Amino acid sequence: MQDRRGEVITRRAFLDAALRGAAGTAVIAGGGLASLAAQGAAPAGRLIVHSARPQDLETPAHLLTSWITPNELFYVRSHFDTPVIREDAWALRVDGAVGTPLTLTIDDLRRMPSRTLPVTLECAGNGRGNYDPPVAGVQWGKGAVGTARWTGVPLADVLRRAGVQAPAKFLWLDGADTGPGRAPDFIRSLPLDKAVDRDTLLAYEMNGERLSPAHGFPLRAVVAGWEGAYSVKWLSHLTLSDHDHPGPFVSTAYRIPRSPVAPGTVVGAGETVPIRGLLVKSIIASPAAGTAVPGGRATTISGFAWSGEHDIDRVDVSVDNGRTWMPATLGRDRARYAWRQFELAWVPKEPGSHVLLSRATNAEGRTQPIEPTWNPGGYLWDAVDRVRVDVHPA
Amino acid sequence: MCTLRKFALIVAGAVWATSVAAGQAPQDRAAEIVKTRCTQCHGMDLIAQQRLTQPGWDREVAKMIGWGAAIDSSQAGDVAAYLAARHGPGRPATGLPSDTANAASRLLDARCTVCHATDLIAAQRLDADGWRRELAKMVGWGAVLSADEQALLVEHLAHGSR
Repeated sequence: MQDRRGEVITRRAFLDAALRGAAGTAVIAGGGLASLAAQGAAPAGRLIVHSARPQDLETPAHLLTSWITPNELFYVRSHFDTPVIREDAWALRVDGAVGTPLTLTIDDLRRMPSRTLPVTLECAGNGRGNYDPPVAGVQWGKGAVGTARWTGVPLADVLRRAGVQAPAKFLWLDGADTGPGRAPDFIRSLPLDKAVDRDTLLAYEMNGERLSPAHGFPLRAVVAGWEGAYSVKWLSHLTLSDHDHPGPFVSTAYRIPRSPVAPGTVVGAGETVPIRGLLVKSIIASPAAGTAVPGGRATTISGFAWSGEHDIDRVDVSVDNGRTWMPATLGRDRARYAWRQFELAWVPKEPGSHVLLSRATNAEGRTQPIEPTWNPGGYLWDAVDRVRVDVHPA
Repeated sequence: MCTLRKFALIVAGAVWATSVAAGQAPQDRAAEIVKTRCTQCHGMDLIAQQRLTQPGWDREVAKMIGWGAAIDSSQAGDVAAYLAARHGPGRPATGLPSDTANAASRLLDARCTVCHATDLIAAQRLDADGWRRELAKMVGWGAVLSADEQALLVEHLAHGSR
């Protein structure tokens, strides 16, 4: 039974790819249906394809309309090709500075007490495409963000079973994906305090469904409130160590300059610090940029605001390019690590081209800047969001 | 005598082959390298969306060589220059909803390949106006494409990831 479950998933992924992605396959992958299915790639559907191989898909902001993002609309970030994993051949190894090294099957994990948490995940590079001068990397717009209900085991419970030993300060997270050639393995490193936080999960379900291959089947980390790259997919190996992982995805990437630099400056890794929690941020999802809005009638300006480990206190909206601001109404749905929806009814009186702005403030009193802090990795775009619309005469 | 002539022919042939290889413009060789080596690990779409200066591309190419890209370090400068010229800071970041990209790809496969292969399309480096003119020409030559389909293809070919 267990054996078959793994096979069914693989076959379903194949069929999904075959049914929904067939037309794009020959052109994008060049290798026909089998290779796309073999890579476990998700059907892109209505998502924006930044990279077909490895798969990087963005949610068009105007499709973000609900507090919980449907799985098929959730952004996908992959550093390397999606590994195809048979559940019955998979296990999670836990070793390093532990009393008892563990090898856990997915059923071992499913038998442990589970938690379900709504958590907003955002790629650290969300918004990179807006930076000037441009920087290398996937040129995300504003839709590399989404919220799901993640079900899994608190990482702390697994670590307790292994018995963390005194020297341990960091947890290294390694997934089953491997890079081509001499590309380094994608390994991330989590400070022990965050690793043993009750809200850090090893998740096997996303919105009540088994994780799809694109989102990390059969197991992924969900590190609530921190930038998305900590939430390693296809988890296969946890190592407790007394030092940070030396690989480039810890020592070079996902870091920002210790002090702000002039745009375009080259910054050595030694002058950088790791990114941890997400900043306070909001996006306008509706109306979509460039759309026509009728004058004299109410239009709802709506979107999302989030702030990593902190609560959102308020969202202000401007319909006149920042000359005046109005408080938006926050949605009722809320959870500690999940975004809040906001909306404001607007009756445009003046026809013409108008700039709408949104600015969130968190419970610590921090708010969004006018200009983001340029950095060589193009991370943490957090500027006041802006959308230009055309108001038609009433 | 006979052996000497054969030797002379071989030397001449070798000189000729070298001159042909050397005669290949650096940007053509760089284009070939990008098309054949980079895409062993990722798609062209990932490259096409970057907007980097020459130093930026120098760093990126060096990183990829470090990761195992089959690019000789003597060619790295030419490759970076080629990429900076095609995917420099002035270019817009691209990315299309896949439905649009898929529809455009279907059109290319169904209509354009009636007369020629897609490599001919992929080799073009036209902006939107250029593609508009090219498609109008092709319609004049008998290609079956409605106005809407032409608009979709222009968007895909000029801005999308091919």
